[in-house]
Amino acid sequence: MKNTLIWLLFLVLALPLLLTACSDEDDTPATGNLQVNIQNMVGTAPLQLDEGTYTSPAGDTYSVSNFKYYISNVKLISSNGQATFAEPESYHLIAQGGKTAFELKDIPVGTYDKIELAIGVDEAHNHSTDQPGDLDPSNEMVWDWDTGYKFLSLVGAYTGDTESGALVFHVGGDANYKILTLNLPKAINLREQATFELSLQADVNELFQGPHTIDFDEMNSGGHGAGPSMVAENYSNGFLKVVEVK
Amino acid sequence: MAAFRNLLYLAIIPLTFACSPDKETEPKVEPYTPTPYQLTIPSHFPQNITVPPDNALTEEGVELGRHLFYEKKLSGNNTMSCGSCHQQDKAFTDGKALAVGIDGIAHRRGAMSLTNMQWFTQFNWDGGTYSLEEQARGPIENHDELHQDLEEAVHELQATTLYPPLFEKAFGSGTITEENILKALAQFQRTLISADSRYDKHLQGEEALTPEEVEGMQLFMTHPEPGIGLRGGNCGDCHGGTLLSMRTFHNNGLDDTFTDNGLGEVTGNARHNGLFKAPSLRNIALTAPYMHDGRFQTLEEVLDHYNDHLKYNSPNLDPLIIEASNEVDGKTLLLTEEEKRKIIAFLHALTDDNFVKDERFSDPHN
Repeated sequence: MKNTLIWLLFLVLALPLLLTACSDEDDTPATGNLQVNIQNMVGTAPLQLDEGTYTSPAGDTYSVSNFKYYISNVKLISSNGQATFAEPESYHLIAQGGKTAFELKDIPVGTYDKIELAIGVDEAHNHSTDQPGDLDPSNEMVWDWDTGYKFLSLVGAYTGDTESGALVFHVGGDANYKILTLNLPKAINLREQATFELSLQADVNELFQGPHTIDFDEMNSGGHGAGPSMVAENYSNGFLKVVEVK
Repeated sequence: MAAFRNLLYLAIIPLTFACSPDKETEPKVEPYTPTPYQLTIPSHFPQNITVPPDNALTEEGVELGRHLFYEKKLSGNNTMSCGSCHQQDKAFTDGKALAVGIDGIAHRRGAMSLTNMQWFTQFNWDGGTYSLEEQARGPIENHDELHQDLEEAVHELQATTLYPPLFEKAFGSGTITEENILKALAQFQRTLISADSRYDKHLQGEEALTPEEVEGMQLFMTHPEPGIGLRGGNCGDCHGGTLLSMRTFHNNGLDDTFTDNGLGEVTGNARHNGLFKAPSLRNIALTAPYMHDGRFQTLEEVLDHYNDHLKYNSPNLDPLIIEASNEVDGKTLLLTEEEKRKIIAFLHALTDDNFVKDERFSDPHN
């Protein structure tokens, strides 16, 4: 009996805490979330590892066995300058057959009409063993801490006009960290709707064109040095596209 | 917020007690109180490891696992233990090309080194098991290994004076079970962390490597790109990162045809035939002979294989290997003798003397 009284006392004491917890939630400034989904494509066809055969912009036939890249430092921007949201610890390793989505959480309400993101890992994190987000140092994407991370890895096979063989594009090096800004076809107004979904497409063929058309007969690997890479210049131009905001 | 939720839970628990009819009886005292094992994760290692929620490491569980790892009753004729093929002074290998079990029959593959397994999710050369708990049953029961029925091992251990109290302390029951044997072995193996080589000291900012070893490390980690004059040994694509393994599976061009399909046997996918795990190269100087079938006696032979003797017609040969040469339009890797020597010098810097002498990992029955 005495025990029961003690338990009841506990409960009575706990009730205000419960109430505080609830009202706390009401008081926090309103925030929203954005789910970002990425579909890897080759032209208009979804990328399929091993199975699919594709034609490159230079006319070579190729297949892909492994495709991964870092999207990092994601920001939402309001073009009237009123609001910017930067995702903390923003490192996402997008992998065909692995992670292809992430969620931006606790975005302060506002109207955002651009998304900024980078392909690669910024210099500060590229040579450090700190590991926020997906910067696991044993995830296939690290060389060593002099060169840093591979920003993008594409491995496969090709049949060209004169030769055939393997495709190995590993792009890393601080010079190849590229920041992209994409306009959203519809502004994300988190006052009207608390959760949005953004669909992006990444087109593998865009790695091999614009500005540099890459003919696999002449170049079937690249990016292993820290110097500027043609593939990186291509991925900063047309590789990622916004498909839909809803 | 989280603190408030926890308080709320605290408030609800007594509430449920208050409602239950027989609240007069005192809550039962837990029959055992194992001490959590404080596993130190090296700061330069991946931090996001997961331990199965039903097998948290405890001091008592690890100590039991250590006894079992070196326990010959886990073999059919009580002549061998896990430690027979996984010897600490050889970084938990046995120095043999192929492991040999209690019946004198050679396994078709060599005993793998046991280090840093906490960070791996697929075990054995073919990746056929997915947890250390699951893995531990295979070598005990396989006919060409310890050839012991695990149920029989339970009876033999139950009949000792040593084990029932150790199981009691570790798992709260002196009644031994197959599951608890496997759990304890897994706990012990999770403590086998090797992170104190000179390469680790280098990663932590110390000047621990000679200039030659640093050059070897750079070659090791670099995929060659002759078009821009970048020379590389092409090792890091599969053996890179702090674990010295990308945890991936590859055909590294040993044979034109396969007598052992490796990963392909597990997945049934013909594209995986001839693929084997790229093992961690930590303590590699101690774990000769090399490859899944121990065909190479020395690190020099291994380097010669990758440099000169790859079987380019091998099905599913890894693209990372096909496309790797230090000369424009070169077919083979084309490292110089000096470059091979530097890479081997770096491989010796992966030896962790403290790991192979650590008393916590040694045979407690001696």
